[in-house]
Amino acid sequence: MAQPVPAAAAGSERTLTMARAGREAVFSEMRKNPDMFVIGEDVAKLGGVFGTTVGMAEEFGASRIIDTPISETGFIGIATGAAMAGMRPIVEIAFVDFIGVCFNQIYNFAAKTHYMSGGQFKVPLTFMIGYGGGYNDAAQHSQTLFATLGHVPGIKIVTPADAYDAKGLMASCLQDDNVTVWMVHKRLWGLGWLGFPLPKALATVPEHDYTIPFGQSRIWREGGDVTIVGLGLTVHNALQAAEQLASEGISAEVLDLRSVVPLDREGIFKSVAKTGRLVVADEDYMSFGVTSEVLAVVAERDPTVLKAPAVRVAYPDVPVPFSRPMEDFCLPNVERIVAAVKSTMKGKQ
Amino acid sequence: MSVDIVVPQEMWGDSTEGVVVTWIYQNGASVAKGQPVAEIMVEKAQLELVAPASGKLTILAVPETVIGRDQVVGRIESA
Repeated sequence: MAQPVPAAAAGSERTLTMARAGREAVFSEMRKNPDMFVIGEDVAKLGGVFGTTVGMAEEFGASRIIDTPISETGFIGIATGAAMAGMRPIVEIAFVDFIGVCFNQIYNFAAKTHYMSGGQFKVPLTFMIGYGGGYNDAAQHSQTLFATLGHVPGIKIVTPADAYDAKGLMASCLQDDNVTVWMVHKRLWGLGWLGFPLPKALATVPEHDYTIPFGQSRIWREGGDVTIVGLGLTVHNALQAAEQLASEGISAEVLDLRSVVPLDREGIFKSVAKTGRLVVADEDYMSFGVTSEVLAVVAERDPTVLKAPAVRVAYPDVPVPFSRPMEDFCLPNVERIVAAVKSTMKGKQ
Repeated sequence: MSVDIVVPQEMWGDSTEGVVVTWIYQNGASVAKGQPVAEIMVEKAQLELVAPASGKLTILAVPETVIGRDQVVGRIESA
């Protein structure tokens, strides 16, 4: 369905896709830091599988925008060593699924060196990673894996849900002095071949630099009956669910985590204490995941704020199916979120 | 004076059809010559259209519609 052209605006504000907004932050930091460089597969000639580095090879040249062979262990090792030696590398891994190849470099070297060296070495390394399914790319190109990365101490992880946050969170990652991971759901990049941009993922993005602090959640919609916690694409699913629920008289608050690590535990608890009900939507596998951690926040602080058991809407503990109906069945979509909210509302007048 | 925005010939390759993905500026916005104003898709490549002149932008081809060679997708009215 075609989107209507927005009405005439007085000024000339820009509405950007998440891919464009994220790379604007990279351009800006690259211009300020001669020690910053990008390394990964298809980052130079192609401009990134998801358009994260378009135009950078032309501006910064082959010494700072470096195409690699399919050799994640090698180039993440290079980046980790370079970061320890004082440079500020950015590593693109188009699909989070590929971290399996190079996880030793990430979790034993990049993540732990600052701690193990007693703070003598910092590792200012930023990963740009795409994740998520919903487009029939099967079990090895559709995963989310927040928990796989988030479980390891020493890695900060953010996942923006719109273009404004994409730029601000990327700037925060690039300015941080240790390992950061900036993850974007493939449906949210704003690339036509992955589905036209979701209207709420496009955002007005200022030309000037700004940062968004780690660990600060964002309330997209206020409500009084239930808190729906989401992150990345599930924020958009939760917003649609909240619309539907509103028409049935249920007032849902939508909280976007924005950071997986550090997690905004205060923000989560505050919202749930207000609404008394909690549904968490995440495209990562259910068990031992973000959804469990969010429930633990409430269980540990004060479970008596809950008027009904909390519900998790996550990926079932199965590999992502290739078949469209089977994949659709597994995704944390609007229908599943609506049903989960209703299950928390039973008996409520 | 009004300047048409068309997809430059070199962006088409062997294709005859593309699609508007998104406009960076809203209808009626002031844009400057050379600024990216829209993202379009030809085959699976996402390309940017830049403003051919400075002035007020008029959007003719809305996002998610198919566009062809030589089609005027927007106009810029210069002051």
